[in-house]
Amino acid sequence: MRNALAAEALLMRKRLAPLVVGGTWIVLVVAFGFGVPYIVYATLDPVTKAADRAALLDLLLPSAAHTTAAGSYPLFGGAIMLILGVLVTGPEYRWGTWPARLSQGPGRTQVVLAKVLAGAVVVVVIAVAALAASMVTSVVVALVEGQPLTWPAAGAVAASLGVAVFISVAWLSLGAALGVIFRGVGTALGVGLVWTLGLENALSGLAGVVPALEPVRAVLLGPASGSLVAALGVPSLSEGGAVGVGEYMSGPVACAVLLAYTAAGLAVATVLIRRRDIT
Amino acid sequence: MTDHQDVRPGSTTAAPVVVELANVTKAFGAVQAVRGVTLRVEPGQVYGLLGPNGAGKTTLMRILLGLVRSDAGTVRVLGEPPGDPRTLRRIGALIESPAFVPHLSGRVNLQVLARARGLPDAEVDRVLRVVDLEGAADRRVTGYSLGMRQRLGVAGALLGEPSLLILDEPTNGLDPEGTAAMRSLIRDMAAHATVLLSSHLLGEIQQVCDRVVVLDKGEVVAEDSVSELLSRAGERTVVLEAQPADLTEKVLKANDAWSGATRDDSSWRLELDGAGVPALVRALVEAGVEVHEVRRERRSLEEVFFALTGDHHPVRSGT
Ligand SMILES: Nc1ncnc2c1ncn2[C@@H]1O[C@H](COP(=O)(O)OP(=O)(O)OP(=O)(O)O)[C@@H](O)[C@H]1O
Ligand SMILES: [Mg+2]
Repeated sequence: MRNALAAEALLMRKRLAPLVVGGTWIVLVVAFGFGVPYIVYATLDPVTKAADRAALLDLLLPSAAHTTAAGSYPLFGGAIMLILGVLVTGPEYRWGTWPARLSQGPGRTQVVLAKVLAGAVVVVVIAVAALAASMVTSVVVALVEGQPLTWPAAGAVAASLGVAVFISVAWLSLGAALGVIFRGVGTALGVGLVWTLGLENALSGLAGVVPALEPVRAVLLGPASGSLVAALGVPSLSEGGAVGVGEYMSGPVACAVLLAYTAAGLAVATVLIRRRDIT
Repeated sequence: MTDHQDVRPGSTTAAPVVVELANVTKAFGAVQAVRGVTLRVEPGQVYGLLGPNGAGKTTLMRILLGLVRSDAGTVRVLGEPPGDPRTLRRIGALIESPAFVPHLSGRVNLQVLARARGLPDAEVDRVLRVVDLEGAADRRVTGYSLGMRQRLGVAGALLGEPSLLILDEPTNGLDPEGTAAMRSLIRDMAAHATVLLSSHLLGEIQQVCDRVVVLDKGEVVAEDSVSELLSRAGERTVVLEAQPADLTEKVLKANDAWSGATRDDSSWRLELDGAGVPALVRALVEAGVEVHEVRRERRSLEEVFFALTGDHHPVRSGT
């Protein structure tokens, strides 16, 4: 397993995909977590909407930077990490490199696990970088607005980071499985994004109107991610928070659903790679 | 072990069989890619897999690596079932066209493979030298020519000095110079390793292999040492050039040399075994025939191949 990990870690380090995906995600967090709300804040009437302005500004200051960053994960973060997951397994089909990957010694299970593990390390690095970028942005907002620099508790920051990684790994694992199922990048991305951004959202929205759909929502990855972030105390969209955040299920249930997706993604990818002929 | 002369020096007759297939069968859906193949590769041999497109050469090699599972039959590679992690580390393989991560350099691509085998980067530098690719090692593989890619693929197969080398059409895309270099590389490798080589370039097989199996539509049509295969197929044909034609034919008919004979102007091709030749020549001379030439025909492996596979498409013979 150590050899497989060393190989996949080197491949991951040299590839462009983690940089591109990570960079994109940091830009998105800063733009949609901070930039857009700040523009809304700046354009609100300071007299009639004073209370809304104050609430909005609170989310953009250093004391809330960690939760605001975490609030970006349920919808777009999930989609981005799914893309990363697809890029962990899918391109090996286009390159035709699976035969080489699987004939060096490490077994098929080890190679798949090593790939996803290397992806998980990238996810941690991305989460830390996105958090750091959020912190920096919030300091800039505080300085511009002449607000005091109040720092969040270290434990709260760690919890936000943990939630971000937990959510990301579940999506990564799902993406990796899709890459194997569809033997490539294109179809896997298409199906994955249509499912997460389209179908899951539609179902989740419908469940708000049709109570019969609520059990279905409880097993969807997006709502589970949103519920875990809500458990951190991040407000939902209707309360002025981020898209996709909401208390659809309790924190522990959300954790269980995310874990189940992680395990299922790994299992499907591994079983398929083990069973198929590699040509 | 029967053919001692086919075993390269350096190997011992006590060493175990390197590759052993018994009645191996593999179908992809309705396509029977391999049908009941049985063969043994002894240590130190350069063993050729020869066959036209779709004969099942690549599929057999994939089976040996555990990438494709056979439907029936038994497979042993270095004494273990195929795909065994410990034996995989002792096998170097180049299957079909070499595949690499295109936007990474040749060196990084090999380093990834080396790590998976637990080998240091120094081993990557060594194999790059062996295939003479050090100069281009830090360029992206996208910019490699077909021949460079092929050499990088061979370099990958040489990582860790494997005891079994599986090379699927290794001279594919190489120019004559590269082909010659590859051939001598294969001969060098054969000093320390067993080499299993596939090709439809008959000249290549003829020049580097000790033993060859000829496959057609997934079946073994011949399996023998190269020299044996060549002599067996060319053994009985004798070419005679003599004049005058009428008289020659009369003597041939009188001497039982006529059955199966074919004539082209003043040249005849006869089916004769060794002892029949002097008697026939004496009879011809005594009858007053001028004998210009008598020679035993040596068929090239190419002709043997066509005869065995019933394939009449032109196949380029190696230079
Ligand atoms: N993955 C696959 N799916 C379906 N059919 C396959 C697959 N791999 C091989 N085949 C079929 O099996 C047969 C043998 O193919 P194989 O690639 O082993 O031949 P080959 O001797 O290597 O041919 P070539 O000289 O063209 O490389 C062919 O009919 C091919 O179409
Ligand atoms: Mg082939």
